[in-house]
Amino acid sequence: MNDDRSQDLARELLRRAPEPAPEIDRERMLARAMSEYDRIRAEREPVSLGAPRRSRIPVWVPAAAVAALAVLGLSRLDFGGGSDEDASDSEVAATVTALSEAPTADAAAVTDPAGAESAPTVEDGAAEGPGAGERALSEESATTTAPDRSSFTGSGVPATTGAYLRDSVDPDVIRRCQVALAQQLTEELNATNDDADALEFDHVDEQGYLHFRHGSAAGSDRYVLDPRNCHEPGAGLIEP
Amino acid sequence: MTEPDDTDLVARAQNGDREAMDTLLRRHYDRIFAVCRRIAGNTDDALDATQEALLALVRGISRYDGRASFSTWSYRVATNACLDELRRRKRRPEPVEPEVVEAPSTSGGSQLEDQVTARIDVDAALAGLSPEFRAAVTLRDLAGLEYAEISEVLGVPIGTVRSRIARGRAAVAEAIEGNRPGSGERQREQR
Repeated sequence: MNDDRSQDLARELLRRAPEPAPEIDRERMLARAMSEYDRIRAEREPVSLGAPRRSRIPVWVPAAAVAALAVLGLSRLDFGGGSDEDASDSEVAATVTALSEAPTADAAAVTDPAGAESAPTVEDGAAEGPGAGERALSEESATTTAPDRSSFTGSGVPATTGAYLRDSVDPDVIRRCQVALAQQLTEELNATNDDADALEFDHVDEQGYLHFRHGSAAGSDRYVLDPRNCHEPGAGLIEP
Repeated sequence: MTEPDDTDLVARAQNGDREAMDTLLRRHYDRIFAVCRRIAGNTDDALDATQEALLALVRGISRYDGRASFSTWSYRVATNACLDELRRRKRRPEPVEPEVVEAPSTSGGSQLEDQVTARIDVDAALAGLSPEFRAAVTLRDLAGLEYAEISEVLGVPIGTVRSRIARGRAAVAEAIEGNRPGSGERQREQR
C-alpha cells in the first residue's frame, strides 16, 4: 500500500458520514429550534388585538384597560399632523368628526359588541342578562383612574407626535377595531381583573398601527392594534 | 406528490410557515450533525454544537438571501456554530468512543486495504489537528464544499484552505499507514 493509495483511502474515509445522532437527541434539538422559531415569529408580528384568527399571540389585558379605552376613546382623538399621500387633512378631519359624532349606542357596541350573554362581566366574569357586560364595564370605569392625559397635546395628539393616521384607516374600520378590541378585552378580563394599571393609548405610527402601553414606563408592555385586521365583525378571538 | 425544494421551503419559512421551517431542519439535520461531529471530534460536543447550529439557522433564516444554496449556507452556519462552541469550551477534542468505520467500498481495493481501513478511527486520526483544520477537511470531503466556499466560511485564503485539507487527509493517511500489518511491530521495535 503506497502513500497515494493511503491518501485515496483517507479521502474515502473522510467522505463517510459518522454515526447519526440518536433519535431522542434529534427530536429534542428540533423541538427546541422550532420553539425558538415560534418565539422569533411572535416577536416580529405586531400584536394584533382583534385580529381574526391571524395572530396567534395571546394578549392579556387588565380590566382597567377597558375603562382606559373608554376614557381615551379613539372617537375623541384628533389625528392631526403628518403628511399623507392620498388622504387630505380634511379627510382625516372628517374621520375624526365622524368618530366624535358616533352615537351613544356605539359605546355599547364597543363594550358589549356581541351581546352581554356572550361577554363575561368585569366583576366576576359571569354575565347575567342583557347589558350585564356593559354595566360591569361602566362600573369598572367609575373606579379606575383615568390615564394621565398630560402626556397628550391639547389637541389630543399623543406627545409622541409624528403620529398620524394613514389613509387606509377609515372611520368604519377604526370603529370595528374598537369593537373588536373591546371584545377581546372583555374576554380577557377574568385573568387580569386584579391588575390596576391602565392601558394607555400611545400613538398611531406611520404604518397606521395603534400603539397602546400598559404598566410603568420602565417595564411597560406594549400592544399594537392593526386596524387593517379589524375588517370582520366579531373579530377579536386570539388563539393561544 | 413532489417534495418541495429548499428554495420553496426557505421562502415559506421566511414568511412564518412553521411546517416549512420544520421540514427544512429535518431535511438537513443529519448533514449538519455529521459536520459538527467531525469538527467536534466527539458526540457530546457535536450534539451541543448541532443545537447551536439549529438555533442559528432559525435566527438567521430571515437574513438568508439565497445567493448560496441553503445546504451550503447551513454548512456555513453549522461550522461557525461548532467552532464558536469549541472556542467557548476551549478544549481539545477528546473522542469518547472509538468510531467503528466500515471499510469503504473501494473498487479494486484489496482485502488487505479493507481490513486496514476498517480499523481506522477518523476522529482519533484528526484529533491532533485544531478544529479549524478539521473543519476545512470536513467541509471539503464530507460536505463537498468548494475551496472558495470553505475559504469564505473559515475566513482564510484559499491557499490556507488547501494546506489544511492536505494536513487533514495526511493525518488520516498516516493512521492508515500505521494500521498496516506489521506496523505495530515496527513501531514497538523503534521504541
